[in-house]
Amino acid sequence: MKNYQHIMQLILTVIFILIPLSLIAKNIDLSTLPSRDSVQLTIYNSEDLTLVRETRQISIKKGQNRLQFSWANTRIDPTSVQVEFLSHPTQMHLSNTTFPHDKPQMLYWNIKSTLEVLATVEISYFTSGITWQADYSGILSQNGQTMALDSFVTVTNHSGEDYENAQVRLVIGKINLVERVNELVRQANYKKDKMKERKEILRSRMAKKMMAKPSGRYEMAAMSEAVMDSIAEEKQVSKDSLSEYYIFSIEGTESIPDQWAKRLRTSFAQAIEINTVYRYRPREYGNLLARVLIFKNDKKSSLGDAPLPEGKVQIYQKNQQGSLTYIAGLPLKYTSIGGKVELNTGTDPDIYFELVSMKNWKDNIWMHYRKGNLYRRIGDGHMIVDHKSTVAGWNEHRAYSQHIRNFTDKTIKVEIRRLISGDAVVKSRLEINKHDFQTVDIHSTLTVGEKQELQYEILTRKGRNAKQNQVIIQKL
Amino acid sequence: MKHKVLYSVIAFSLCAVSVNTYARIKLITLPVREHVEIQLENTNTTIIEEERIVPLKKGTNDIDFSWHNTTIKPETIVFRVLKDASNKAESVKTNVLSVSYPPNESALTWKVSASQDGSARVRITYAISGLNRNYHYIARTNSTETKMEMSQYVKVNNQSGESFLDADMNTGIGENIVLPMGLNEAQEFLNQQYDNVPINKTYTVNASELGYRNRAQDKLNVLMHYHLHNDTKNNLGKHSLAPGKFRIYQQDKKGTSVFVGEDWGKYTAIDDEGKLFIGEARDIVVKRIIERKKRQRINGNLYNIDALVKYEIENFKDKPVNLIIEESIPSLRNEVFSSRQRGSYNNIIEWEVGDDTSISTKPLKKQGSSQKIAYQITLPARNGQAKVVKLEKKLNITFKNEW
Repeated sequence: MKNYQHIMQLILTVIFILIPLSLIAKNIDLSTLPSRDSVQLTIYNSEDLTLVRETRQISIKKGQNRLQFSWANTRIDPTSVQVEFLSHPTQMHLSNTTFPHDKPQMLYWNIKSTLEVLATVEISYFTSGITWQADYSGILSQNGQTMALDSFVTVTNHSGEDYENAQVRLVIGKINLVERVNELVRQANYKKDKMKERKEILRSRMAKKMMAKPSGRYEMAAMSEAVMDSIAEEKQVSKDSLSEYYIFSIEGTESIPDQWAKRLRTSFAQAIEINTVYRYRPREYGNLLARVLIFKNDKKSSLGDAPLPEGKVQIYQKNQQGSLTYIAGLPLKYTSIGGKVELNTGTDPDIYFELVSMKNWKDNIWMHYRKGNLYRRIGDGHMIVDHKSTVAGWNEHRAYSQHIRNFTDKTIKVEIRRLISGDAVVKSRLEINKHDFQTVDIHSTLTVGEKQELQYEILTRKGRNAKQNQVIIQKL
Repeated sequence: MKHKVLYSVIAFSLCAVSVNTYARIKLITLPVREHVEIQLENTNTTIIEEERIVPLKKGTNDIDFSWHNTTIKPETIVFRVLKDASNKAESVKTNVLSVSYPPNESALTWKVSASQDGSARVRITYAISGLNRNYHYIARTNSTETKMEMSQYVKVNNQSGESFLDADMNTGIGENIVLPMGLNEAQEFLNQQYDNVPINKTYTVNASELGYRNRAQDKLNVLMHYHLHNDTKNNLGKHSLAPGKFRIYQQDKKGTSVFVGEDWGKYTAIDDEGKLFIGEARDIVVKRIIERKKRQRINGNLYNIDALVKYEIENFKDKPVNLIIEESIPSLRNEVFSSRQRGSYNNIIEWEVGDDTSISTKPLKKQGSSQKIAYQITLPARNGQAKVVKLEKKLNITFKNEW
C-alpha cells in the first residue's frame, strides 16, 4: 500500500463552514472525502502532459463555503488546478482561491452559494508522469505479399496516483507548452522541502485516512466473478480529429494503478498489401541495398481511419512450418491518413548488388598558355608546344555497370538513387529520371535468378570546362 | 518444477476475488509446454515459440507471464490463441482484451475473455538473447582435389537463462531437429550433408592485395583457393550456405585424412559462387618486376606513362595448374608515379593495355574493372626430372592524360 502516493496526495477536503468565515479562518468544522464519481484522462504523447478531469458530489451550504484541495506527492501542475460547478453553475460562484503560504501543495476555494444543495463539481488539472506510446506487430505472409498488422497503445502511469475506472483519451499531435509540467512540479517541491516538518504532519494525518482506502492490484479486482452471458469483446477505440490533433478514445473505463502500464489494441488489419522494393539510397538507408516494405494508411489496407502514431513495429514472417521468423524491430514514423509507411528491414543476402567502375577516360583537355593567356584544346590542331603550359579544363568520363543478381525465389523491384556531383551528363540506354538537380533515379525489375548489368556513363566537366552544378540526362 | 527460473506462470483467477485481494494469484496452474520451437533463421535474433494448453473459464481470465532472470526482449512478445483444428461448435472462443505490465517485475498479464469453460491452445512468441548459433563445415576433398564432401554443422549455445526440453530446432535449412537445450549448455548437430561437390582449384597472385613472399627476390605470394558453385548441377543448390568456418581435409594415398587448411566461408546464395582460401602454394613461383616505365609528354604538364610489368612463372608441381594473375591499377600507377605527389585533384585513372603485352588469353571479365585487370593462364606440369619451364609473361599498361 503506497498511502503516501495515493489520493491522499490528492485530497479533496471539503470544509463546510457553518459559521461566519471570520470565525473559522484556521480549522475544520466538518470535512469529508467525497469519492470521485468519474475521472477522465486526456494524455498527450508529444509532451509529458495529461489533463485530468474528475467530478465529485459535494454538499454545499448557503453562503460562504471553503473547499480545500491538496495534492502532496503527486506530479500535478499547481497552476493548472481549476474547479467548475456543473450542476448549479448560476447559483454558485468561486469568490477567490487562496494558496496558503505554509502548505505549498494545497489551495482553498472560497465558494459563494445561494443554495444548500448536493452539487456536482468538476476539478481539472494537468499532471505529468502519465504517458502513452504506440507500438505495432506485423506478421508477413509466407510469400511476403501481405502483412497482418496489430496496432497497440500502451499507457504508463508514473504520476504517483492510481486512476480507477478512468475514461482514457489519447491525443496525437504536437502541442506547444511554454513551461513543462514537471518543471512546475519541481518548483513546487522546492518550496515544499522548506516546510518539511509541517508537511510531515499533514502526510501522517492523510496516511491514516488512506489506510482505509481499498488498494491492491486493480487487474485482479477487475477479474473477480467474471462470468458473463457472452464473450467479452475487445474495447473499441474511437478516433476523432480535433484541430490539428487526433484523439483516440478508449471505450468504457480503464484502471491504471500507479507504476503500472496497460496495453490495448487499437486496430487490426488482416492482410495489408505490401509493396516490397529494394532501394539503394545512401542518404536515407546508408551504403546498402535496403529491403523496404511499403504500405498505405488507407481503407484498402483496412487502416486509414486515423493517422498511425509514431512507435516501434516488430516484424515477423510466417515460415513454411507456420511458425514465425523474426525480421526486424523498426521505428514507424507518424503517418497521416493516406500516407505511406516505409519500413527498412535491412539488406537481403540473397540479392547481389555491386557497382563496378568499368572504365575511366578523359577528353576535351584544354591547355593554358601563360604567354598570351591563350587556351588551346588538345587534338584541335594549331597546338603550340610549350612546356610551361598547364591543363586548365577537361572532361572526365566514368563508365559504370551496376551488377544486380536476384538469388531470391520471387521477382524483385530495385530502385537506385545516386548523387552525381558537379556539372555532369548521365548517358545511358536505361530509363533514368532526375530526382533533383544532382540526383538521378534508376528503376529495374528482376525475375527469379535474373542477372542484370545496368550500364551508364557519367561525364563530368572539370576545371574551366565546368559551368554549373547540374545533371543532364542523355538517353542513348 | 525443474526450471531454474519460474519462467512462465499461467495464473488464473476463476473465482470471486475480493476487491481487497492483493496478490495476483488466486489459483495457479502450470501448464507444461506442449511444444517449443527455437527459431534460428535470423542471424541476429533468436525466436522462441512455445505452445501451451491453457484452461479457461467462461468470462474474463488473467494469464500471467513472467520471465525473471531470463533475457527475453519484452517488446517482441506475441500472444496468439490458436484456432481449434477440429472446428467443433463447442470450441472455446476467445478474445485478448488487454495486457498489463506490473511495476518492477519482468512480467505481464493478458486479459483474455472466453465464451465458455474449456481450454485453448496458445502460442507465445518472443525474441531471446543469449541463445546463439553458428555454423561450421567439415569438408573432405579427394586426392585429386576435384570433388569434396561437405558436412554443415550447427552449434547452438544457450546462455539465455532458460532451459528448453525437447526443443524443435529450426535453422531455416532442412528438417527441424528435436534436442534438449539445457541451461548454459551447447548442442551441436549435423544440419546438412553434401556429397560429390565438384571444386575448382585456382592459384592467384596480386602484388598489392596478396603481397610478396620474398620482396627482395620479387617473388609473389601464390594463394590457393577452392571455388564451388551452390547450384544443383554441382550437387548443391538446395539451400543457401550460411557463413561459417570451413575446415578442409584431404584424403592422402593411404586413405587417411590430412588437414590442409581452413577459412571463413561467406554467405553463398543459391546459384552463387563461393571461394575458400586454403593456403599458400610453394611449388609455384611467380616473380614480378616492373621492367619499364617511360613518361611521354603530350604538352606542358600533360603526359602519358607507359609501364611494362614482367612475370616469370615456374610450376614445380607434377600437374598443370591454373594461375590467375591480378594487377591492381591504382597500385601500379603509384609504383610508376612514385616520385610524384599523390592524392592530387586528378583522381581518375585512364589506362589501356599496351601492345607489348604477351599474355595470349583475354582478360577475365568477372574480375575486371577500371581498378583491376586479371588473366588466367594454364601452367604446364613439370616433366619428370626435366628442367622446369620458366614462362615469361608481360603486361603493358599505358596511363593516359596524367598531370
